[in-house]
Amino acid sequence: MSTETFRAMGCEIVVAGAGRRAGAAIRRLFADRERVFSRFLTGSELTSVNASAGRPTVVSAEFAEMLERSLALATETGGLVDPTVGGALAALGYTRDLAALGDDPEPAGPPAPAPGWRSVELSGRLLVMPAGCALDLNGVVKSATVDDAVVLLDGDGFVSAGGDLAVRGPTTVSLPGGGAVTVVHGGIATSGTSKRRWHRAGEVHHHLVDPATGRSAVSPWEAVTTSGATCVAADVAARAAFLAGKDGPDWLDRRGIPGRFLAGDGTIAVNRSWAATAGEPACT
Amino acid sequence: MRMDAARRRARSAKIGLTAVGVGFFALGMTLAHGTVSGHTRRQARPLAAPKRFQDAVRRDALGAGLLAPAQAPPGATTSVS
Repeated sequence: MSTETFRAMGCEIVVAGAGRRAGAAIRRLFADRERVFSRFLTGSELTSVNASAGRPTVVSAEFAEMLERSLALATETGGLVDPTVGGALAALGYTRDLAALGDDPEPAGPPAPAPGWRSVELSGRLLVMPAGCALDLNGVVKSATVDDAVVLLDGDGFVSAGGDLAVRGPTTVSLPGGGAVTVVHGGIATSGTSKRRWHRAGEVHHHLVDPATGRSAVSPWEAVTTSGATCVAADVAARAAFLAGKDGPDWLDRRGIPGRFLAGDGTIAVNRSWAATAGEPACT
Repeated sequence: MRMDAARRRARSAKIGLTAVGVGFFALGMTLAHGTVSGHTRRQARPLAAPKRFQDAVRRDALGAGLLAPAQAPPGATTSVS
């Protein structure tokens, strides 16, 4: 199976099973989405939407669709995964692409709790959000683009962006901390703190922000891997389970979602749903 | 005698025709009530999707994928994002 890689959205994209035309279409798709939804490109629609917070704004149909999905998933996760954490991430110093984000001797600004997804009103393409509110749609956009890209493949294969992966046809996937699993259908995603992290005045921050406090979340897990009917579902579930902390395995089990948890000391735990499907014994 | 009999038949015919007319009218109204969309048959309900449907969509939004024990050497990796 032919594999090609390229960089987009601040991570490496791996595409397997695409011919030349499909590969080009997938590259275009990632580039187009990045131009619209990047927090770091001054000309992106997201940047101008955030700059106009406090005033009614007409957004593009693509933007409205992605924001609507983000708001629906925020509701579904009880606000654990909230699209209004853009200001919190900026306050912590995540203001550039991670590759350009070196260690900074200046301390991070005061934490900026997220205004909350309930404060965002979207009616068709008309968006109203409170002044000072900044959206960050990266999580949903990246995994949704993976889902859209896998449809463009010529046959069986997969598309992976960072930790987010969607398959077309069964694919065996290696897992953080060792081990592997076959993804028969849908997607798999891992959220954790080992990659998207940076230092401000010696203090470590990472991108998984607790919306309530505006600080990088403290969790017993270093990485959480979940399976989803889509890559978006897997990614959102992984982040929510990470942010749910010790309750993460049960939070996923209540929804029938398989989850695998890598703790800081290297131990691995899986929830009952993972044990039932992937064959690893559950640790309770 | 023949005139009286004729009047009785005429009266019976009038009653019969009236009854048939009323019957057809009632039947027509009943059928119209049951088939014409403008006639309300039951309590009006909002046009929102039923809760059962909404729940199904919601479940799908965070639905689980399908996993199986590893059956081959890994061809892909899920790294941390």
